[in-house]
This record gives sequence, C-alpha cells and structure tokens, in this order.
Amino acid sequence: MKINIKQVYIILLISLCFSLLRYAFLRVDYPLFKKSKLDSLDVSIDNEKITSLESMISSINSPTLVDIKLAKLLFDNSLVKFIDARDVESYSEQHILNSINIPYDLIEDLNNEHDLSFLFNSKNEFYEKIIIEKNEPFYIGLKDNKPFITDKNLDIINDSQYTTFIVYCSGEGCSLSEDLGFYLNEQFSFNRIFIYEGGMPEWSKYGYPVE
Amino acid sequence: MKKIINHKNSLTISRLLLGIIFIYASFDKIIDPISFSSLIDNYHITPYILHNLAALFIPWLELVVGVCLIRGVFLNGASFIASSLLIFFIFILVQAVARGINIDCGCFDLNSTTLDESELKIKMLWRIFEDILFLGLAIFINIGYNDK
Repeated sequence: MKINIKQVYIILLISLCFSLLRYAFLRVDYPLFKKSKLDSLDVSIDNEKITSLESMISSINSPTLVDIKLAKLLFDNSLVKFIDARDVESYSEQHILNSINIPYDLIEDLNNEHDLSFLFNSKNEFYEKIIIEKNEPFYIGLKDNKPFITDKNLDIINDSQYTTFIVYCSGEGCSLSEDLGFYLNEQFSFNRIFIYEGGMPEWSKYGYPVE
Repeated sequence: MKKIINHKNSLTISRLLLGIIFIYASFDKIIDPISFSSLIDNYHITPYILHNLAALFIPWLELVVGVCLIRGVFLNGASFIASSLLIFFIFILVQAVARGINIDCGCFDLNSTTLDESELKIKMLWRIFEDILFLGLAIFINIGYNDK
C-alpha cells in the first residue's frame, strides 16, 4: 500500500474547511471542545480524591450550595447524610436513598418540644428521639463534639461519618431546604450543611438512587 | 490476482461502491453532529473533550473521501484515508463488543434506540463484518491504482 501524503493533506484540509463552515452555520450551542458531563461522573474515585473531599467538607462552617456533581460524589462515598425538607407525603412518595425526613413546615414542633439548642451548647454527648407528627422518628444528638442525625439505627453515632448533611427539597423555587439548612445551622450548631438546590426533581432525572 | 487488480471495471465498481457508502454514511452525521457526538461518548475510548470536534470533522472527511472515490480524483489519498478510517471503526467496534458495550454504533443512521441489547450486539457484529469488507475494497482500490 503506497501513500501519497500530499493527497492525504489536501483531503484533510478540504474536510476541515467544510467542518468549520458547518460549525459556523450550527444554530445550537456546540462547543468545539466538549465540557465534562454532570451525569457521567465516575463514581469510583480514588483515595486521594476522597481525602480532598473530606478536607473540603471540614472547611465548611455555614450552609453552602452544592451542585448535583458534588452531591453525588458525597453520596457515593457515604460522606454525608441527606435530609429531605419536604412534607411527609412527598417524602413517602419518593426520596433520595437513605435520606431522612425533617419537614420544615413542621419545624416549630421540633423547636417547641425539644430544647436541642441547649443540649448542643452544653457540649455534653446526648441523643434524642424526635418524632414530628406522623413522621418516622429520627435521632439527633452530639457525639465526640460532632452533631449527628440518623433514622436507621443508633450505631451510626459510633461512626462519625454522618456529621455533614445535605438538605434538599423540590428543586428550584423551593426554599424549604435553605430554610431548614439555616435553621439547623443557627439553632443547633450544625456547621457542615450543604444545600442541594436541584433537589428531588434533578436527582431522579439523572436516575440516581431513590427509594 | 494481478488480473483482478488490474481489471479496470472491477476497480471502477469498487471505488464507486465505496464512494457511495462513504457519502451515504456521512449524511446523517453532517446534519446532526450533536447526536453523533453523543454516540461517540458511548464508546468510552476516545478523549471526551475531543468528541464534538470529531463529530464535526469525521462526517465531512467521509463525504470528501466518498466524492474523491466517485470522481476518481486523489484516489491514492482517498483510499488510504478510507482504509485508516475503517481500521479505526473496526477497532472501536471490536473493543465495544469485547467490553460488552452494546450501543447504537452510529455507522450509518444515528437512531436505533428501539433495538434491544441483543439486537444491538448483532447489529454491531454485522457492522464489523461490513467494515472488514469495505476495508478490503479500500485496500484493493489503493493497490489497484498504484499498480497502474
């Protein structure tokens, strides 16, 4: 097989010109160099990245916005506990896997019946069973000077992984997650709180785990 | 063999056939580079950042090669590029099948979403077979016209 390099170059050049012409006439957003996709996030990240995630989390001291990419990374590496701020019905219908439900609409009950602020500020370890109306109970407390919330079993308090929370609700236009995030931060000293604005609609749209 | 290679009609038929195939394969991709770029993503083998560029350039390269083959100009260069493209296509299809990635190959049309997994796999195997035949044609054209 013989190769006429000059012919090859001419053909490549002609094709390139046509490609650029086509690009000029494209009426949609089409970057020549493709940006990374949010939903193509590789869930198998290495130890170095987990370490950097952990150090990033430890630097948080007030409610911080998080996008779906970071939310999924934190979820995959079990670095956070998800909190659903929507009402009981919405939560029962579908929620992010292993998330717990703290409906912000009922948050006054939490405030009236449990003086958690005092307990957190006293710096002594504690755990308190919380029942908000007909909602499933969850536990809130302080262990090793780190606040926790869990609804599965109390073993979690021996494991400090869930000291960071992601609060979400029904996506853009829903302020429950933000309200609850700031509430937990200001009233109960939960410093490591992320607000996931995309919420349930975006999470399920990407086909991420729900129950 | 030499007789076959030097046979003018068989060479003409081969280049016309391959030219038509290349032009036909380029149309859908030229019209819809976005879908073609998404199809390239599915192969998980080439750098993601380059997929839009490739989706824009490859169809035009196919078209220009096809036109050259039909018109009978730059036959050496066109048949060489055709061979290179086909080797690349065969490689990415074989690796996809070997890794169990059953996808719409995007070889001719860009939409085979109605096919199930087994149908997609059969389609991919068929495309590999086709590409090997086309590669044979491209090499035949290159050698044939070099000997003249």
